[in-house]
Amino acid sequence: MNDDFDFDPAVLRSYLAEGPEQAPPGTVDPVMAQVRREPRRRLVPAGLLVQLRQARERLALPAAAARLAWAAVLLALLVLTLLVAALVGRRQPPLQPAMNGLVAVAVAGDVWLVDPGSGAATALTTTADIDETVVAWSPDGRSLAVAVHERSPTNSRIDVIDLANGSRQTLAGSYDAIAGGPIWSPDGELVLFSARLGERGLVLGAALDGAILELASATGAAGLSVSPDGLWLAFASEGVAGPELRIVPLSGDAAARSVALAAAGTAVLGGPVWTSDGLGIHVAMAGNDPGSLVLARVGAHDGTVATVDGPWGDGTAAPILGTAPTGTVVSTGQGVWLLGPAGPIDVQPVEGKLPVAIAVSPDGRRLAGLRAIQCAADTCPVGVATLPLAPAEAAAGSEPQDLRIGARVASDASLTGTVSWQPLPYPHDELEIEFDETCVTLSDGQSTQVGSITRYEDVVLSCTDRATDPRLSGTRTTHVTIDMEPDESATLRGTSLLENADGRWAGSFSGTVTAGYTWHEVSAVAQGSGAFAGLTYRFHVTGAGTVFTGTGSFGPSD
Amino acid sequence: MEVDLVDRARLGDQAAFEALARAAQDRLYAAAYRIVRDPDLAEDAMQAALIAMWRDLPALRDPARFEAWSYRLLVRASIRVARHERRQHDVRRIPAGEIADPLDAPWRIAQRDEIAHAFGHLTPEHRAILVLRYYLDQSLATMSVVLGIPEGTVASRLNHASRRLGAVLRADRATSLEPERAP
Repeated sequence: MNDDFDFDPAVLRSYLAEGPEQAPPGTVDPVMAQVRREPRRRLVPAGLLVQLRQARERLALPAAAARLAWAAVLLALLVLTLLVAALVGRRQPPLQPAMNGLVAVAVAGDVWLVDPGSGAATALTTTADIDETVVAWSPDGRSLAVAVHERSPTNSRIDVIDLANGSRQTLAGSYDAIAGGPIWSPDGELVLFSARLGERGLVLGAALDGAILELASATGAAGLSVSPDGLWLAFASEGVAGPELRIVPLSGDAAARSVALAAAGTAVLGGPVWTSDGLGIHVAMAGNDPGSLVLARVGAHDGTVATVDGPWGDGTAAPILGTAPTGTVVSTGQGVWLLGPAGPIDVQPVEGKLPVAIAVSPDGRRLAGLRAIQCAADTCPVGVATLPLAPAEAAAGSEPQDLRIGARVASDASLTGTVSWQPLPYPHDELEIEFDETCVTLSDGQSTQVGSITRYEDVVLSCTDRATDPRLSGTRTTHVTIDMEPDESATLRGTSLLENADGRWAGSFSGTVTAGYTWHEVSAVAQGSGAFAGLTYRFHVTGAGTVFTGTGSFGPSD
Repeated sequence: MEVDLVDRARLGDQAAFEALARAAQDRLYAAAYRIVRDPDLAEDAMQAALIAMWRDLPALRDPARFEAWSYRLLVRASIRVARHERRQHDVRRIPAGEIADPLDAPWRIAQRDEIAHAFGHLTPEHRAILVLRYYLDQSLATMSVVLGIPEGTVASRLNHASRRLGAVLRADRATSLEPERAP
């Protein structure tokens, strides 16, 4: 007997030894059937080997001279950087590198990733049998939580997609519907959502290790929002006496609270969202006067309910609320406002289509909105509009820029979806990245004979880099010097400058090319400027043809 | 051999993955059964773990850790399955030679029934950690890899699960000692 535990471990071992030791016959067969239906997909980078093979095929040119020219092109691509001091000095570096990554969009049953800098959009999922309906970036910007609805058999679940390796796992499932969320807890350890299971409404937290926490039982729970300190979860639900706001603790023994909202309105239409100071919670409601729209503020500590005056219009369009560092974003059928201490500031005027979903950028300076653009008779392309949210810029007005993605809907009235903006934490440590790169030759350079080798100087390439971290994506200009050996192997060196909307990476590189120009390897180091000031980017590129791939890391400069 | 299969499966080789899955099925099923305590649910958990294995293999950095990693997926799947299904069929099989001393048998059977009842009242998370320790005989270091948490946390959770099992046993014994109430 174990005195501490009141049981004999030997008896427990004996009990656990009971039971089957072999799996029933045929247990693996359904697994393999599923595996064959689901060939593995890697999200980034895609098809490296295929690209290399294609590049080699393109390289198979008959003329040696043509091959030389190609080779020069290929090699040069890879590269990076020297401190281009003059360029570095032209920008005033901000206090901290840009925090804004990709915008994830769940629309028309799939998830899309949009680069707000270049406008490039990529379908992350193309699933025909399931619909991805809501998407949320994890606080570290590495994973996406997705609400998924399987059509046959009906089943709703929460998946997490790891963008680093393309893996996808189901955190929680077998629900009749996902009613609210998913959203992440600020520490990234819980994915919070509300679900319907039969007649029950549940507010749940799914841990990444598979544990499911039941946080509350509530009918019609929706609009989940975590307090800025990460301690409380607020959501709207249908109480016995009308709509109510529920506030439950995410940890500890604090008591859950509920606030009746019937005095403010008849139904919750948008939110709730915490104010950025954590002292209040905003809720958009259908007012007690038919057709009216009310914005209510609930005191987080005393539960007082007050209405907030503003040009919100009526309740004909579903209002959307969001939290920004400088206030609450309020989007209604009449426009989009930033509600700060001094009152609402126009962010988007009435002109143009208003968004059906919004996301505030992680640095709090921009807003992304999902909206239909240029609808034809029976089809509407879908776009993500981004515009400044900082009060000074917003007050000055700014035309939203629509970044078109590949999804379409039948009409703007049928457009639903969600958006989430990727946070990019400042790299306190080295962050690993992968990228691919395609290049074109701008200049073949000058060819001179140096002893037994042929030197090509100042070959210029223009490349497009796509990296797993958007801070390392952009347009790269490379200047290469190539020393060709008689056996057609070569060494190369040079400088490169990678630029995007937030800053630049300038550096130098060197590498080698195999005989016949079938392969090259280049190592490089670059220093950041602009938003990337204080960071160093080291990477290694391999490839052939005009398509290259690489791995690297970036972090604080020594 | 297994490392080679893991490497090939990571690159998408379905035949290699099938070989891995068939080699692992018995040990995974046996562990899942102890956690979920139901043959159908154990099959569900094992299949879910194998599918997750296929999807997540590219993320496995060290093929030598495949076994521990596979138990991690299995524990997750078993907990998930157990949380969503409350069916419990405690199939009992006394291993051959278990009852060596006929005089000792009643006491051992009573103890076994006590612990079976108490074990069934634990959460799936607690059952999982006890299965890793007392069925798979894993060290704290191995459990740390399987569960993806520090060794100290493993020890703490194991202690908590053990105390919980002891508490249920004490409660059961106290109940059984209460005088029968008149109808």
